[in-house]
Amino acid sequence: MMHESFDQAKDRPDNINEILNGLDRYNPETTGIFQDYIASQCEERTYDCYANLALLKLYQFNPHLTREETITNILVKALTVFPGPDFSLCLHLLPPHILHPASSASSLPAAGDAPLSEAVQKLTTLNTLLEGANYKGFWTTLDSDDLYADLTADVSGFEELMRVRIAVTVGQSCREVERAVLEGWLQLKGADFEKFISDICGWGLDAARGPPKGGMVVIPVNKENEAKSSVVRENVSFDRKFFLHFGWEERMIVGADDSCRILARGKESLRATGVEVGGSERAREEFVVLFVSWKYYLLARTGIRSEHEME
Amino acid sequence: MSSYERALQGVVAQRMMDDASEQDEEAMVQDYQEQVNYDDGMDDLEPTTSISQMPDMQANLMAAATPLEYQATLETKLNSYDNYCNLFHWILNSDGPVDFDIPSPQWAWEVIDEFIYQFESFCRYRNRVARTDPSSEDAQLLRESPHTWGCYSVLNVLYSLIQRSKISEQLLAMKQGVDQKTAMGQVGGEYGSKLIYHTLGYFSMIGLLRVHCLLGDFSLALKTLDDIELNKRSMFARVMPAHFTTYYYVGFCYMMMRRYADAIRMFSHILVYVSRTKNFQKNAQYDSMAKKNDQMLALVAICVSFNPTKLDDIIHTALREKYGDQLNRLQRGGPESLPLFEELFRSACPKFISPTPPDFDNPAINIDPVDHHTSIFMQEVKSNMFSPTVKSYLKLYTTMDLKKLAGFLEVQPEQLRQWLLVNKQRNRQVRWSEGGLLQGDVINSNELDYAMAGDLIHISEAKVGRRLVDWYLRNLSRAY
Repeated sequence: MMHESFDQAKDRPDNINEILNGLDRYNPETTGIFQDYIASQCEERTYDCYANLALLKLYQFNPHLTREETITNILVKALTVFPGPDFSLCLHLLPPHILHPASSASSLPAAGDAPLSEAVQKLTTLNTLLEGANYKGFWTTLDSDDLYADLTADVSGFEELMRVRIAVTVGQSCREVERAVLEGWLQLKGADFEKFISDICGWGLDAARGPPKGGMVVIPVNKENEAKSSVVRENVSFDRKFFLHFGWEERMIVGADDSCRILARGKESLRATGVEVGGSERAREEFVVLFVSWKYYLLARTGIRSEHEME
Repeated sequence: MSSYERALQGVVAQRMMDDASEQDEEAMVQDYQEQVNYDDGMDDLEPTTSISQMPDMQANLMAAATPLEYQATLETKLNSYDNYCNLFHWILNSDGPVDFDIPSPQWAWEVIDEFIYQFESFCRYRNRVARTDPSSEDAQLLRESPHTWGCYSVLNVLYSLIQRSKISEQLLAMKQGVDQKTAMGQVGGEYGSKLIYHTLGYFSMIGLLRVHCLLGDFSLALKTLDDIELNKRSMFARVMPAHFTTYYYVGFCYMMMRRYADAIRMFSHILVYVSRTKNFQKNAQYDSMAKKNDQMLALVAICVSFNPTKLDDIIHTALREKYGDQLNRLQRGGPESLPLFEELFRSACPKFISPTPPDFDNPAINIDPVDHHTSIFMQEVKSNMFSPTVKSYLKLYTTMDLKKLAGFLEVQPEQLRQWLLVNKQRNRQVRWSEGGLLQGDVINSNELDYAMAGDLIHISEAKVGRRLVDWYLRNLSRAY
């Protein structure tokens, strides 16, 4: 199981960490630091969504500080970790009119918005293709307009990062893929393709199989593509679901060993076998109902305990 | 310089505000000085500022927890902002902690709640006026006061209350087993040891959760609750509206981060709690929660459509009663379900706001933030809309040929391959297990799992063992 925490990034410098955890994250003077940080993420091929969102928030609060190429760089970096929520989380922090040019086209938007709006539209198109697993469409669209090359130019190794990311999602879903299909998804052919799947992915190639002249890429078994059947056992803790159901929660505590302690509203208590009962006549009556039903429950749950054991 | 003062300077100080806001600040300072002067004579006698010496503040404190009338004019709203400024300025910047016994923790919650509510409704009103009626008198008034209810001021109040009260430190101590009184006394310091600061600081954290969510910053919203443990022992659980609000916003933020299992867990917790305790709630309070209750049910409907889960019986029944037909349509997916997703989302989402004043000269670019966030959410819905179709077929087989299935569905094999990849990816979700709300493990959230080997789809299902507890609970309630 992969453990994640959205607010952490393994390559984050200490000074960024300090800003993010303090009130300086709202200080417009840190804008420059965050801008340098995203620039270094682009160069070094690292990624820190939580810090980039902090920069977008600074832009959100101080629109006059906005730098368009920084926004597009953040979005392009977010593409490289699809299908995570990162791209959407970035969009949520952008000024609404950037995403809705149709309504603002008639009246002229503030100067300089149009190019950004167009860039965001284009990147959103790419994101939609990626989230829809239309990888072939992604590559075709990327090549269809020079603007894409401009937008992704700052992000070092963008195409390779995308290939790796696509390969990761394929590796989770497939055990074998036709070579031709995977070539389309990765937009690689011939020796480049073979090198990529063996060196980067560690996958095999079985030339003898697949459709005529094709060949089959063989992906080793992993936890995701194994798709193993399993039986899920019911796991219910006493004190939550079971007793909450009857509003008994406050009065009954069940130990890990199924011993049962009943705390009634009153103070006096009466001891029973492994059971503490307290309170008035009414509480005792309630206890009897409770205790009997508790035994029932154990019977139903384990099916093996005898009544004797339970008393 | 205390960390609070640094924060004040760092966050709101002049360097980040333009001239107009400096005037605002000056006005605030002037107001404050007037009050101080008013008290000057007495200050010589008594070192602490006492509430009895400030009749205005007494009224102000009470007003702060009282909702504005629905029909309140813009002028009233602007004045109300000034009142809050004065009040918080007095609480935070008096000579030492103020001496005021709060009636109950509920009062502190109501102050923070009403403060944020007025901020939210002011921002929405301002945006609406700029969009629809930019030449009105109100628009003119709003143009002239761009810094009223500014988001920096609102955040500043909340963060200052948190810092003054040392509530984070107190909560940390309480996490380590110290009780509330001891934590207040030992860790809270001069301010945090007083109940007014302790409670205001605490509810400010929940206020931040809400403000960040309203601004569309869902990860930061969840991060602000790092110090608060979501359990029944927490203070918010003692104030029903706070309890309710906390779970609504946490659940909503999880949903926007595509952590549907966690979102369902949050909504379920509070919906079950409300249904169990509704007999004990005061009627007026319950009425105001009924709407939010329905909203959360709608969000549960959205989340279970993405992430089919067995729900608690109570919620399941309520969902069937309230949204039975809609739920079926959502779960069927496809393009026909899109308008319904949108309708439910709009009816149940928070009233998003934009942090900056609108552009009164270009009405058309002032888009309603709700439209903005809805459209982004709908992109995610669209990416997923064929998952239910795919799942419904896969359930029937253990192996299936991709081309054959594509034939059944009347789509190209390539298209089906994409749907299968999408569905598989969406089944992988981060789910919380321990620690802060943003932490979690990547798990496979669906009972149905599959893998493709060329054109052959291998399907497996996680079977659920006998569900004895439900059987037992049903029979037991019948026996009563």
